[in-house]
Parts: sequence; C-alpha cells; structure tokens
Amino acid sequence: MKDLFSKKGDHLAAYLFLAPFLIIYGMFMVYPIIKGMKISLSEWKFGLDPEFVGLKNYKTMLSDGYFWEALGNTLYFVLISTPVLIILGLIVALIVNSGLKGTVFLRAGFFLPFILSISVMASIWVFIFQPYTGLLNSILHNLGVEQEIFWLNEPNLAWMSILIATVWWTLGFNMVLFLAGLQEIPKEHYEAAKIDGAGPVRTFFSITLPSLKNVIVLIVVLQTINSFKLFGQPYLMTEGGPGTSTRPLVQYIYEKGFVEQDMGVASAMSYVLFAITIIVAIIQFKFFTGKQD
Amino acid sequence: MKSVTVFTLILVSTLLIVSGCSNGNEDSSGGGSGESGVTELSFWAPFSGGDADFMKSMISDFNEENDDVEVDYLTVTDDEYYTKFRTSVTSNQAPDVAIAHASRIAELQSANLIESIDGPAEEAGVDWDTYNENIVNSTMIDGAHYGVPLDTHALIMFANKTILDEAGVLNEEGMPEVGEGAEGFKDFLTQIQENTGEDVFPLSATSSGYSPLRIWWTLYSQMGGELLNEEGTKAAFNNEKGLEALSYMGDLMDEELWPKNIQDGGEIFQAGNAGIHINGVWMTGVLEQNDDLDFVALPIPNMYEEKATWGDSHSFVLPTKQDQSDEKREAAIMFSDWIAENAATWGKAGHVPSKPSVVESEEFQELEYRKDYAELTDYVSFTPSNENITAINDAIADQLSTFTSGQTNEEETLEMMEQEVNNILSE
Repeated sequence: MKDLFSKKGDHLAAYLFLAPFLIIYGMFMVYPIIKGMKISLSEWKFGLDPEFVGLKNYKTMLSDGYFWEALGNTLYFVLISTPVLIILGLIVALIVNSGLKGTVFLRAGFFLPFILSISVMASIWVFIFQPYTGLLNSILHNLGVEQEIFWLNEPNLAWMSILIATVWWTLGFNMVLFLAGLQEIPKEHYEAAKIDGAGPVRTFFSITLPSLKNVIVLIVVLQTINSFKLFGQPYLMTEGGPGTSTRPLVQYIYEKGFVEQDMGVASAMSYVLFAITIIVAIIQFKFFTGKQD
Repeated sequence: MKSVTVFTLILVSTLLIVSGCSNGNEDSSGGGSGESGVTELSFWAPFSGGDADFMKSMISDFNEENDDVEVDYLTVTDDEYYTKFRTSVTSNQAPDVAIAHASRIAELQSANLIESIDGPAEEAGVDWDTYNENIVNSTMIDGAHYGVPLDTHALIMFANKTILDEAGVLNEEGMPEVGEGAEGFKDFLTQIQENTGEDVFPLSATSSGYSPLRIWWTLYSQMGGELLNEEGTKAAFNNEKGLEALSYMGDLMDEELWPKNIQDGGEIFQAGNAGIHINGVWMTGVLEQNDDLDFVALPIPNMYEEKATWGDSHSFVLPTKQDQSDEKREAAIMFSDWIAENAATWGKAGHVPSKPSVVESEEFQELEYRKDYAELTDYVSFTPSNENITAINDAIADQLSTFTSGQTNEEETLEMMEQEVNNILSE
C-alpha cells in the first residue's frame, strides 16, 4: 500500500489503462455474481417479482434427491475423467515430442478435435455410438457380434461413451500444455542423465516428471475445473439419460432455472458448485505446492 | 493531477455510454405505429426448416394484402424459445405477437407473460365459432381466451406400404389392415415381424425424450385417463389404465416389435427399414421429400375404448407489454386470425389447420396425406392446462425413458412418475 501512495502518478496511469477492463469485468462478472447470490436467497420466476425467502432455496436443494444424484454424477465424472485426461495427455505429448517421423501430423491430428464445437463433436459421437444404425455397432455386427449394444442407454456404458468422447475432444489441449512444458526442459539435463547412465524410465521419473511439476499443477487444476463444468456432452449425447443417470449438476441447474423456472434453487445450486470447485482447486494447489518444500 | 482528470473523464463517459444504451432501448420499444400510418408488428416464432419457410410465405402474403399493417418476422431457435420469450417480456423488449404452444399457455399466463386477448379479439371481430372447438378450448383459461390457435400437431402413424405389402397386411385399397384394439395392433406388428427380413423394424418410434411420453399419453387417453385431478393439485394416473398403457408399451418392446433404445425412429423409417413409425404430423413434410418411400399417414388406431391422440397447438399470443397501444393489440389479433384463415399453406408443413373451413377447402384437400388424418382435430387430447405442465412433462418423460431403456419395471415407473408429479405440484 505504501508503494501505491508514494508513486501516485505511476499507479494512476496504470489504473487508467485498467479502467475499461475493470468496468467491463465489474459489469459482467462481479455484478452478476453478487446478483446471483441475491437470487439464490429469493423465490423468483421470470416475469414475476422476486420474493426474499432467506435460506429456503438451499433447504429445498439439500432435501432434493435429484440434486444429490446430479452432484454425484458430476463428481463421478471428475474422478474418472481427470486422471485419464492428464495421463493420456502426457503420454500423447511424449509421443509427439519424441522427434519420430510423422509427429507433426500426429500433433495436428490430436489437437484438431479441440477446435470443433461441442454440438459437432456430440453429433459425431452419437452417430458412432447409436444403436442399430451407429458406426460402432455396424462394425461389431460385421465382425460377427449378434447382440445389439446400447452404448448410450445403459448407465455404465453411457458414462464410458461420454468419457471417450470427452477425451477425444479435449485431449489436444492438455497435450499442447504438456508439450510446451516438455520443450522447456533444458537438453543438458538429459545429457547429464545419459552420462550418469540413466535409462529411459529413470530419466522420465527423475528428469522429465519433476521438471513438468508446474505444468502438471496447472493442468490438474484446469482439468478438474473443466470436468466440474460438464454439461454439453451428456446433454447432447444421452440427454442426461437413461432417465437421470448421467445428468450432471450443470444440466440440472439449467433445467431447474430455465425449464422449471425456479431461478432461486438454480442459483443456490450454482453457488454450491462454485464453492466445491473453489475448495477443490485450493486443496490441489496446497497439496502440490506443499510438496515442493 | 492531470491523470486523475483523464481517469474521471473516461469513467464518466463510459458510464454515460452504458446508461445511454439502456435508455435508447426503452425508447425504441415504447414506440407506437410508424410515421406513414402503417402499424408495424414484430412477430416471433420457434419455427425452423419447412415450418419457417411456410410461415414466411404466409406473412409476405399478409403484408401484400394489408397495406396498413406490416409484420416483421423473427425466427428464434426452438431450444431457447421460451427462455428468450420470458427474458424479453421482463426486459420490456417483447414482440407484439408471438407463437406459443397451447400447452404452455397456462404457464405463461401464471407468470404474467401473456395477456388475455378477449378485448382485442372482439375489436378485431374474431368469430370463435369458425375455429375447431376442441382446439380453441386448449388455448383458454377459466373461460378467457389467451391464444388464437393456428393448427394442431398431433401424434400419428406412418406406414411403409412396401414393407406392409411384403408382410401381407395391406387391404385392397392399399391401406394397412389393422385388427381391433390393442391386441389387433400387436398382431399386426407381429405379422410384419414374421413376414419380413430380420433387419426390418415392425415399429420404429424414438425411445427417449418426449416420444415415449406422447405414446403413453395417447394410449392412456384412449382409455379416458386423466393426468391430474380436477383441481390440478395431484397426479391422477397411477391406476389400472396408466399401468395398462405402460405395460402395453413394455410388451411391444419385450417382443421386439418396438426394438429398444431407438435413437431416432424417423431416420430408420425414412431409410425404409421400418413398417410403422409413430411421430408427430410434422414428419409428413419431411417424409414426402423422399421419393423412394411409399407411405401413408394415418391417425393412430383405436387401441382402447375412445378415440384420442397426443397433440398440441401453435397459437398466437400477445406477450405482456405495458405501454402497448390497443391499436397494435387489435392489429396483432387481426393478423393472427388472417393467418389462421389462410392456413392451407401451413398444412403443407404437415399440421392440421384450426379452422374446419380451411381443412375442407380445396387447397388443403388437394394436399397428399394430410386429409387422411385431418379428422383428429376433433379428438386430439391436450395435456391439461396447468402452470407446471412443462416440469410435469419433463419429469414424466425422464421416468418413461428410464423405463424404455429397461432400467425399471412398469409399477416402479408409474410410482415414480406419480411421486415426481406430486412433488412438483406441492412446491
């Protein structure tokens, strides 16, 4: 603070440059967050006046079985998707970084799905997974499998399908982050390791992995947050079904708010998701940075 | 100090621009009729594809014929339609007239989003007797009119004549020969199953989303079942009739007459791989574009005592606008009535017009397929008028698609449906 007052002029210039950003940020981020808090404490349908009800929406939410199911679904997806996406991302980055022939093509190939919009991605995978006329089942039938497999209509298989689609779609982003990290590791470290007689496995665990530490923290946190935000894939691929068994929390919030018109409860659930995501992110940061000492 | 002044200046001007925006919008939406004495109406509808094209052509006809009213049409995507509708009304940006499904009217009215049209309708000289009574009733609440119905779009049955012929279930007139009642329909499907190739679906109807709900509601309505009690406070379908309708659907699936987990029943029928397809009338417009498909479109056969089928209706409504002039309201209703009167074009999209005179008109009767099912206007079964009907439909649809994917049995499903609906109604 002292600094701020002593060089007043400099700081004001800085704030001046920040002003347009701050105003827009305030209007479209900070204000809605505060407004959302207010909505979560009132009963409100579009078109009617909001009515302050205190913590009633939170009580309704806690006693709603579907809220817990949806939260469970989201947590389940975070648990299954985060490790897969991080480990596969690293493996793919290592392959692409290996300098073998054709890696430029591979790098583009792995990254390409990431630029697709979610609706295109979901349509592709529905076409692959759908029963009777889907690509996968047609291949299986040609291979002599008589049974019709319902990839999108049986809870466990549906989760697997969503996971596969998500991996295909977002793996490229993690790969690029890992790749950037890999390319920053000085060549000398590897040369030194070679001289010391370390094999590839030893080199990976003693040089590559520790050097990637910061990148890993970043990816773990980003990936977890992204997985918490799961919505489009189940919404478009399974409609949250069969029944509600793959409906994530964000979809339930959307349905509560915009279909059932219960903005209060929807906002309350958003806040819970917000809180959980923040807590998990903080724990992850603490966990990773704690180890460094 | 200079920088402080600049900073303040920027801040103030930014705020001015921001507040200026909102003022500007209020001005433009509050405006009345145009300068040249032409009443301009903005009109929203959730139509896409063929529906949108037919609507546009009707509107341009209207604009040509009516010099004093000019309608400006905006298509809003289906998924977001009602959300946009709501936000537009709350922010006072609503269109002058909009399409709403009859099933949504109670919900919109209870949230104050639409106005009663009794006054403007009288001014505009709307004669309600020229509309089909069953359809008009679906747009009324407590004796007051809230919508000018344009059509009814109901669940019907499409039959592939090539496959039916192969199965030997076509009569001399080339129409499907379906036996009496629920058993008769099942035998009919069994015959298709037995007499055609293995890859033919006797019945293809989508197994998730709203499709199972519409089929169940059709069967249940044919037994005269009610969805809610008279006061609209409790579910009233957990009974023998509700169970029978559900068991019947279950039987069709168990015997693989209606194979499980069909993602898109229309696609299979369109590819010529299904004997029967159950879907809304809107499929007529889609299917007839396929020249290789030889099909008929008919009302769903009478499986139980009464004639009934699921249906809804596109209706013109007046979104709530505080500063709206009576002149605009009247013009909006006049426009709605005009479109309903000239809705033979609309029939091309597959829908059945709401005015019997239009259905009987030469222009409509000349259309292929439509007249074969136009009779259903008299017995279409609308879901009850209830402000929570969307949430109720969604909850039931969820439970039914759990059922159709084989996760629950009939009794459990019905039990869950009842519990869900009662939960929604008690909130």
